[in-house]
Amino acid sequence: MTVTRRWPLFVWLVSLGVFAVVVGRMRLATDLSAFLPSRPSASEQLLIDQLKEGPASRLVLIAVEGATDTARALISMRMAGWLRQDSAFSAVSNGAAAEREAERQLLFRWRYLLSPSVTPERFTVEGLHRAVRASVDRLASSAGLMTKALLPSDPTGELLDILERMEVEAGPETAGGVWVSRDRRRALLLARLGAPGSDTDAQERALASIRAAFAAAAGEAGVTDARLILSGPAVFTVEARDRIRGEAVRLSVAGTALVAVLLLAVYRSLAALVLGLVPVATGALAGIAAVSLGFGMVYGVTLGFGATLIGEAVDYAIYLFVQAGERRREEADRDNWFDLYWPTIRLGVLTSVCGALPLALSGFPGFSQLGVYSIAGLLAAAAVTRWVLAGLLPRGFRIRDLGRTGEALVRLISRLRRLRWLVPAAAALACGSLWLHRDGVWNEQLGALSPVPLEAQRQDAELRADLGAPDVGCLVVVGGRDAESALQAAERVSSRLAVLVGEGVIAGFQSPSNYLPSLQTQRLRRAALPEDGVLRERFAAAVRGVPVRPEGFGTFFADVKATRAAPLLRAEDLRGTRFAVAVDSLLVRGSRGWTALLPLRASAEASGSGVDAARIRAALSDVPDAVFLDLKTETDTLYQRYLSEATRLSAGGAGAVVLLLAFALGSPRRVLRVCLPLAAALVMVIAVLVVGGHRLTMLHLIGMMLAVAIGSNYCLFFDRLAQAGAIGGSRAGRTLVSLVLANLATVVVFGLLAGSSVPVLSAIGMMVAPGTFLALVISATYWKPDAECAA
Amino acid sequence: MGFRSGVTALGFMLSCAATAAHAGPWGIVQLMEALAAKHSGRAEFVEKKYVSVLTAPVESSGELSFAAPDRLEKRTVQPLDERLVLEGDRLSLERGGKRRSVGLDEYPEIAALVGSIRSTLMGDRAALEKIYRLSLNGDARRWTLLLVPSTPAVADLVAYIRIGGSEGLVDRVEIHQPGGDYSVMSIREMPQR
Repeated sequence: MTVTRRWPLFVWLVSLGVFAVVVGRMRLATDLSAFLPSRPSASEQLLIDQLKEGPASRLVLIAVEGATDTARALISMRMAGWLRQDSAFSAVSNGAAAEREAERQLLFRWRYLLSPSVTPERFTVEGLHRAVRASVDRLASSAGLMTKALLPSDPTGELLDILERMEVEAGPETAGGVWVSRDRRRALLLARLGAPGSDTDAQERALASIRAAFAAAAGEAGVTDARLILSGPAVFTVEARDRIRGEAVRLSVAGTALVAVLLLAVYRSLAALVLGLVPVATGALAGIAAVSLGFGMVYGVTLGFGATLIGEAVDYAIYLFVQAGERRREEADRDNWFDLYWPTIRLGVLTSVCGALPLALSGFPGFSQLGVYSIAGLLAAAAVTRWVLAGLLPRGFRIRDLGRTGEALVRLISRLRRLRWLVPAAAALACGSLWLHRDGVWNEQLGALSPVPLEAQRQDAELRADLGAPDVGCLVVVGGRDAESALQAAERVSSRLAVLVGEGVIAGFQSPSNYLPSLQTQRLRRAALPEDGVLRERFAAAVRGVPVRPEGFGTFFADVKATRAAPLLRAEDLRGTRFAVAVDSLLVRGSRGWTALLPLRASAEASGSGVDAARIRAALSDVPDAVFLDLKTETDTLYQRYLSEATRLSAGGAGAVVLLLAFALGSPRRVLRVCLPLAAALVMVIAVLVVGGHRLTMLHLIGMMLAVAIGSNYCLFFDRLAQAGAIGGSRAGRTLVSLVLANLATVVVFGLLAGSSVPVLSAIGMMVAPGTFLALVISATYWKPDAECAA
Repeated sequence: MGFRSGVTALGFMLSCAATAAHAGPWGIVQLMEALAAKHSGRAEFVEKKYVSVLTAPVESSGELSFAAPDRLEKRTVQPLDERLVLEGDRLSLERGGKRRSVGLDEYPEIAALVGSIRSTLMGDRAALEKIYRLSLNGDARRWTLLLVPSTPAVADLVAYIRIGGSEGLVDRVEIHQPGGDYSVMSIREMPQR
């Protein structure tokens, strides 16, 4: 070894040390934020906060199905009983009547602070008269015999007012005393975790408690055919973490193993195999180190892509070993190889970098990590192949003679050539079918990007609908410095929304201030309550002419008196009830102060078209900082923005690849020779996916860029071969062998990805494996072997 | 008032026991058959509620209609507009433009009250016997059906329900509650449209 050969080795070893240190210190992130935008607008931020940390992220939707109605009800009761004892849960509801009764009592106790009807006017003689009159009229209702018991203690009807306003009817149906789904086949429970959405370990433990409670309850009920279904963000997070973690390891290990077997079978040399994995390992380390340094943390999904790098980085060593010749004169042959092929490989690396660049620039951190990982990994792998690997090869290093395989390949390809008319025909067919399916090419839902499997998403939507959890279609958001000012703002918004309800613009709305009025409002209400003597006097005057016995209202006077002396209602007083859950999910602490959310319900007439956004915005115009959000539109816009960003970046990447080729190859003909097979291959893959019922997402677009990155290398080699002059017959054969071997490795690795249950991974695998294979085959079809080597 | 109705009830129960003893041509079976023979109907009603905390009964009126197999609608016009529909096991109440629909078993009270009227109109003896003990007094021309709750939950709400009628027509429903409050609903059949 010469001195000049040692320097790269030294640099490489030092870099490896640095990478290892960085990788050893990296922080692994497993939450779902990898596929949420990194530069969100204010409203998107709200959406993301809710998903990542918000109280909604703490809800676990629980369903019990199978067995009999009675058994399910029993299991639900038992589970709720046990889980309520568990400190991991801040609230557990299953619709049991006892629960409703407790909530009713709570509302009853605080009725004079909770009811918006409590104003000074309400407690004048005139106001009392009207309120009592209305209460008596209420007795005429069919529900009268039930509400009559309230009259002596609540003659002004505050409790009924509160109940009506709270829309408690928005809960699920009940059967056998517990919540059930609409088809009655499932018992439903709702649990709220104490731990925040980002504490995945705590979530995992809590989910285990739920499963244990279910198993115990089912055992106690003596049934074996009951099933537990869990859903909600916590469930998704835990499952996604487990799955991504599992798949990252599984796919990387399986990919490495398969590629190793493949290479070993071809090389018949352990040393060659080990040396061949050196660029891959260096690339993977460099990639992770770059991501860790650049982002401060590494997503689990990114590690899953470790596999993708193997598929590509292993190619460089393959080219070197196979093409550089197997016999004698290794040194000279190798130098020769560098002179001959290095420019081609360098161009291949650069096109790959161009292909990965759109990823690195994407607005989704998961994708940009993948892009950075690929770029750093490829550059490192190529550099190691060029400057380090050659120096590491032992004297007399050789792999099996592949000359005959090469000749066979050349013969095969010359036969393929006869079928080359198939390529334009197939491409035209693909374009045609894409045109026919042009409306169904893209999946335009943000959920398509979710790492949560479709089946789980569907089940979640079903449970949510059954639980009557308000589907957060439209809402008004208003903020404040602290909880109190956010509540006050919510009250101002509520008063405007109440008018809209009256006008029929919306059917109803929820507000945290319905359950927990601001202290200011509570103070005003408390101040509106007259002093005992005054109240008695006014009441006596008020009920003249109303057919009630004035002496029967002792509890009313006592309750008003008690409220005047008692402290105000605090969030703690609601603990353990569904009201606490409601307040927690509607009043959130954000990065800057507090935010109150007021979900709206569309009126029945407006169903389908949503709500009249313009009228709502107009009504809110005088409430500073109140924002009306239509989340459906909002998320669609968000997704479309990112989809178009991805399209733009991909187009930019493709443009960069073409420019690079034009610059490097210097001939439009050669640029076309490289680009057309790639384009044809991609069109065919997309057409097959779309016709097969897949809808493309951004993930497929990303896969397309990776396919371009890898496939372009093959095309470049064929282009190099076409410039045949300098290349002898056996060289062409060996080049072909190396390309086929490289592609086999790629297909193996990405084929594994295609089978992954993580949508991100499978979409990319589905695109790259067939895409690169077709690119190779199509390029080969158009290559004209020299007459002598074809012979 | 409470005392008087209590005595009446006792009297009824005794006489019903007597009726049951010599089961003649007119019994619960025949009544239920007569009621079930009618598949739909419309009637006006006037309901008076006597509530102890009030010095005068609260009166309401409107229209009652039912259709086999399981729909009962009670539309109150005076003094407030309200529509109560019991269909299958769903109960919906519409008042002041607001409609709320609930599962019947969520409101066992309403199930006991409105459900019993529906079951009677439909001649559904099995449904009635789920919550009440039945006894019949009088003859086909003028009968009285007494429903006494057999479960404690319903007994908390209803002391007894007395339904009066003639042949297959119901014309009076009295609901008596523990504590003496009660309501009387008089029903007048309207010609079928």
